[in-house]
Amino acid sequence: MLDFFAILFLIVSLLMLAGRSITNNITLLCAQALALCVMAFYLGLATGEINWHMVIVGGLTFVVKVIILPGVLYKLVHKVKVHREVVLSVGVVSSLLIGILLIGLTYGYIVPVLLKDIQVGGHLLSVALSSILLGCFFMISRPLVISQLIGVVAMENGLFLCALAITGGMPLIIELGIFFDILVGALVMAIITYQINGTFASIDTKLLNKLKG
Amino acid sequence: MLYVLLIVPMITGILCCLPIKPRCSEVINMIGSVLTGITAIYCSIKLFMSGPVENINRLLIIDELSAVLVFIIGVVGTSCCLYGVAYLRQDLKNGAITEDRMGLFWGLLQFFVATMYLAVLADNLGVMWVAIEGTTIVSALLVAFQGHKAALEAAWKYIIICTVGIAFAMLGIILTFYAARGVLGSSELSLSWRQLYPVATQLDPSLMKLAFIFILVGYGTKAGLFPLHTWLPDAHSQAPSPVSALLSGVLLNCAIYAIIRFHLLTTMAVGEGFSAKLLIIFGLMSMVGALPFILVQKDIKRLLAYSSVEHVGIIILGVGIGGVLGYTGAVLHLINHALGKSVLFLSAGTLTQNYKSKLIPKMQGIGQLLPITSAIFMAGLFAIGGAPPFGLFFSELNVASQIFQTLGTGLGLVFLMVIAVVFTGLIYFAGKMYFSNLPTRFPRGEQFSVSHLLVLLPICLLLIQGIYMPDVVQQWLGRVVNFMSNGGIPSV
Repeated sequence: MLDFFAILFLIVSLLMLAGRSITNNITLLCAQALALCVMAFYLGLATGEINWHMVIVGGLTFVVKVIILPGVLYKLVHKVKVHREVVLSVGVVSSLLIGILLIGLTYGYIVPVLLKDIQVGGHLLSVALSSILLGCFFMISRPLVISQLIGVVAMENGLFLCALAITGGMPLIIELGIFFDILVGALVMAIITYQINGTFASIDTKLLNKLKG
Repeated sequence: MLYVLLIVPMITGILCCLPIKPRCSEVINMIGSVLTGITAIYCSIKLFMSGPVENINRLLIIDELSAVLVFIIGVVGTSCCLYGVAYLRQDLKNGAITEDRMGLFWGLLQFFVATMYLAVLADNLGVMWVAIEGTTIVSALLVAFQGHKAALEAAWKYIIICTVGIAFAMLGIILTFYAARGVLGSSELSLSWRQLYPVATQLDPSLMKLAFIFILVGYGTKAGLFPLHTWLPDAHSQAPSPVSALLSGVLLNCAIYAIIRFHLLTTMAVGEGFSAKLLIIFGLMSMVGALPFILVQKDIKRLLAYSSVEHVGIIILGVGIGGVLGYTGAVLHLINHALGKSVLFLSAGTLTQNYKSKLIPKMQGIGQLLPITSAIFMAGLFAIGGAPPFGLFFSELNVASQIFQTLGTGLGLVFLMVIAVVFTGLIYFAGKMYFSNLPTRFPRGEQFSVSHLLVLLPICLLLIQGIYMPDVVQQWLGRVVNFMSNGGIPSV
C-alpha cells in the first residue's frame, strides 16, 4: 500500500520533467504533495491505534502543500503572465532519460551501497532520494525563475518523504518549524519572482547573469 | 533571560512594520537593538562569570561556545542596527529609498537578528536548522530591498542556492536522528546537543560520517566555503551596507557555529581525523580559492566579500586542526573577523553612498572627502589584513603555529603566503583609494558624529586586544577552548 503511493510519487516527479507547461507542473506538484499526504495519513491510521503525530503531519501537508502553495503558484503564474509553453534548455526526451538514469543511480548505487547502514525496507527511501535528485535536475534544466521555485518545493517534498522513510518522521516541533519555513520561504520567493518580473519584464534566469567575478 | 533575546527583537520588528511615522520606527529600532545588545552581552558574560549552568529540558541553552556567538551578535548586530539609522537617512537623501519603506527595513533587520539568536541558542539540531533557513528567508528580502536589477539577481541566487544547500544539511540531520534514535529513543530530546554529546561515542560511526558530509555541504554553502561560495559576493555586494555587515560578520559565523558543533559530535563518534581532515581541506581551499578574486577585484564590497571567504577558510582551518592553539586561534578569529569586517562594510557603505559608486577606480581621495570615516576604513583594512597590533594578527599567528606543528612546514608556508598576498592586495587597493586626489566636484570634510563612535568602538576592541589581553578574558577563552577540546561537554 505504502509502496504503491511511493511509486505514484516517483512517477509524478518523473512526469514533471516531461511537462512543458508551467500550470501542468504546478498540478503535478500538487498531486505529488497529495501522495505524500496520503502516505502520512496511512502511517497514522493503518496500525490499530491512531498515531496523532502522523495525522497532524498529514493534515499540515494537505493544508500547506496541497492547498496553499499551489494556490500561491497559480496566482503567481497568472500575475506574471508566463507564456504557457516554455522553451526547455534540455529537450523532453533527453530530460526524461536523464531522470530515469538518476532513478537508476539511486536504486542501483546510492541506497544499496552508500546508505547500506540504513535498514529500511520497501521503496520509500529510494523514491525519496530519487525525487530529491529529480527536483534538483528540474531546477537546473528549466530557464524560468518560477520553475526553480517549483523545483525547490519538489525537493522539499522529497526531503520530507526521506525523513518519513528513514526515521518515521522527525519530532513534531521540528516538523512544524519546517512547514513554517517552507511556507514563508515559498512566499518570499514568490515575492522576489514578482519583483523580478516587474523589473526585468521577464522571468527568464538567463537575464540574471550580470554579477560575476 | 534567553527568551528575552528572541522576544525583544521580534516585538521591535513587529512594531517597526506597523504603519507609523518613519521617525517613530527609527526610534523603536534604536531602543530595541540597544536593549537586545545589552541583554546579549549580559547573558554571555554571566555565563563566564558563573560556572556551567544546568538547564536540561529547555528549548534554549547557552554554553561556552554559544556564549561567544551571542556576544558577537550582541556587539555587531547592535552596532549595525544603530549605524543603519545614519545610513538610511543618507539613502533617503540620495533618493535610493522612499520614506514609507523605512519601517519595513527596520522590521526585517530586527527579524533577521532574532533568527540569528535562535540559531545559536537552540538546543535542538532541528530548531537550529529551521532558524538558519529562517535567516536565509529574511535576509534575502533585505538583499533585494533596493529593488534594482542587480539586487534582485543577487537575492534570487542567494535564496535558491542556500535553500537547496540547506536541504542537504537536513539530510544530515535526518541521518543523525536515525543514529541517535537507537541510543536515546525517538522523543524530541534525541536531537538535543546537550543529550547527544555524552552519548556521542555510541552513535554509529559510518552513519555519522555520512551525516557530517551532508552537514558540511549544507551549512558550508551558508558559511561560504570555497566551491559553494558563489552566492556570497553577490549578496554581500548588493545588500544595503548594514545588511552586508550583518551577513558577513554574524550570519557566516552562525553557519560556522553549526559546523563546529557537528564537527565536535562527529569527532567523538567517529574518532579523530575524519571530520578534521575535511575541514582542513575545505578551509585551505577557501583561502586559496578566494585569493585570485581578491587580487583582481574592482568593486569594493565584492573585495570585502571575498576577503570574508578567505577568513571563513582560516576559521574552519583552525577548527579542523584543533589543539589548544588551533581552537584558540579559531575562536579569537571568529570574534575578530566579525568585529573588523562589520566595521569595514559599514564604513565602505558610507563611502559608496558619497561617491554613488562601488567601483574602486572611481573612489579617489577618500581621505579628503571623509577624513574620519576613511581613517577608520583604513584601520579596518589593516586589521582585516592581519597587521599587528590588531587582534587578527594574533589569532592568525595562533592558527599558523598550530599548522606548523601539526601539518608541517609546507602547508604552514602556504597559509602564510596566502595571508601575505591577500594583505598586499588589500593594501594596494587601499593605497589607490587613499593616496589619490579627490575630483573637485565633491565637497570636502565631515563632522564627527555618534555613528563614527559606533565603528570606532569595534576597532578599539581589536586594537586593545592585540596589545593587552586581560587575564579574565584569557581565562574565558580558555574555558571555550576546553569546552571544544572536551568535545562539547562543559568542563567543571
